[in-house]
Amino acid sequence: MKKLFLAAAMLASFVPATVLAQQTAQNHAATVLSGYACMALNLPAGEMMNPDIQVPIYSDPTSSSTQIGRASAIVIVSFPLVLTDGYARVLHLNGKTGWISKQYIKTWVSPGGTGDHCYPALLSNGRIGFEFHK
Amino acid sequence: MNMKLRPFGFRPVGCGPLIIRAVILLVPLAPEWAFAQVSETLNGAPVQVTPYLPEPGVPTIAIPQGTLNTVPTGSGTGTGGSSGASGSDALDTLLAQSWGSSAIANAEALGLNPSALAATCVIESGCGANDGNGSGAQGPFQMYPAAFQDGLQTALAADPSLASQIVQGSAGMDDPTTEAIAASGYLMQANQNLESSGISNPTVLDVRSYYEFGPQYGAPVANADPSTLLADVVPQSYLTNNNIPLNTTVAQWQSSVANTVGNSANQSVLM
Repeated sequence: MKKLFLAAAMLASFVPATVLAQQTAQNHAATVLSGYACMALNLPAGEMMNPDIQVPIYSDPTSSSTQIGRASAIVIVSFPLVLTDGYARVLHLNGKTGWISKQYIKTWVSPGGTGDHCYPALLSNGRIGFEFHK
Repeated sequence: MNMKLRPFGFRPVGCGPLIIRAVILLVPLAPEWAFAQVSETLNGAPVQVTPYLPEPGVPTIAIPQGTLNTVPTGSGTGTGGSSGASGSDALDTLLAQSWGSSAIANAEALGLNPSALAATCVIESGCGANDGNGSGAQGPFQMYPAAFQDGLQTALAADPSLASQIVQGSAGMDDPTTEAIAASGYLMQANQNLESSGISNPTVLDVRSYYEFGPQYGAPVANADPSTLLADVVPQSYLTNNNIPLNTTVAQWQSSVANTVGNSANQSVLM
């Protein structure tokens, strides 16, 4: 058994670097995250371009809790929606769950008018991201 | 036996044979150029001793003549490379500008990878254009007034000493050095925004979406499946304003950026 393990380890070490490079270069949506949905950040177009305007994501459903990040144009919310004290539970792109004031989220519609739907997904590079299709 | 101890074991000059005394006396009189000449005329490998009497038991050694290993000389003057900067094709383009070296030094002072700054001006204008494109954006970094002000404030907050290099007021947008500082600050904002949005150690490619499509769209584009249409992530008007076809995928757009900026695309934004 020990020899078998040793042989397997030796074989693994001979995997060409090019194969490994190809595997890491192909970044795609590996898994659609169930229990979550895409929503859009509810800001006027001018404010979407303003770096001074940042919509916070809090650790708890209150503005007095720790800010764990800032919202982007697409917000991943728990689905079905979980609302507490005017805050919606969200999944931040860093993998942490947090809360955003519900006034800042609205239904997501493809901004290019393609009619695609947005699905929160775990990407092959380990990041939480988005997949879009009909 | 009466022996005098000599501290360093040298025999006093006056005590040796006459020929040795003569040599020792003459050495200090040799002109300086006689010594300097040796190193000045050494223009290659030193003369090698070729054995002509074979030693018993040792094979004959053939020493090829070869060519002299001369040291090239030139009249040019060199300057030191930028410390801590990651080299890149884009950096070479920026360095070719009259204001390039100061822009790089200022970026480094802010902790920004100068290749990230270089990549931005290469994409925006090839680091050369200084005229507005009619949309309100201008300068080598094609910044809009609001982004220019934001970036400048961020840069000055990080390093107040940069204020001495800034052209005040709206005229600053026409000054490449000032705009480079503002662009550096804006890229720092982009980096912070993406990190706060869950992207650790953002790359030049990651922050490009922030710079091109705006603060709120940076992270969604950077985290989109590459097969996604850009039009699914950023408003259609943003694409048309940037002359990007509506059927462009995220992967195609990223590939276009990478082709333009070369090997800086995957470098970290911060040093």
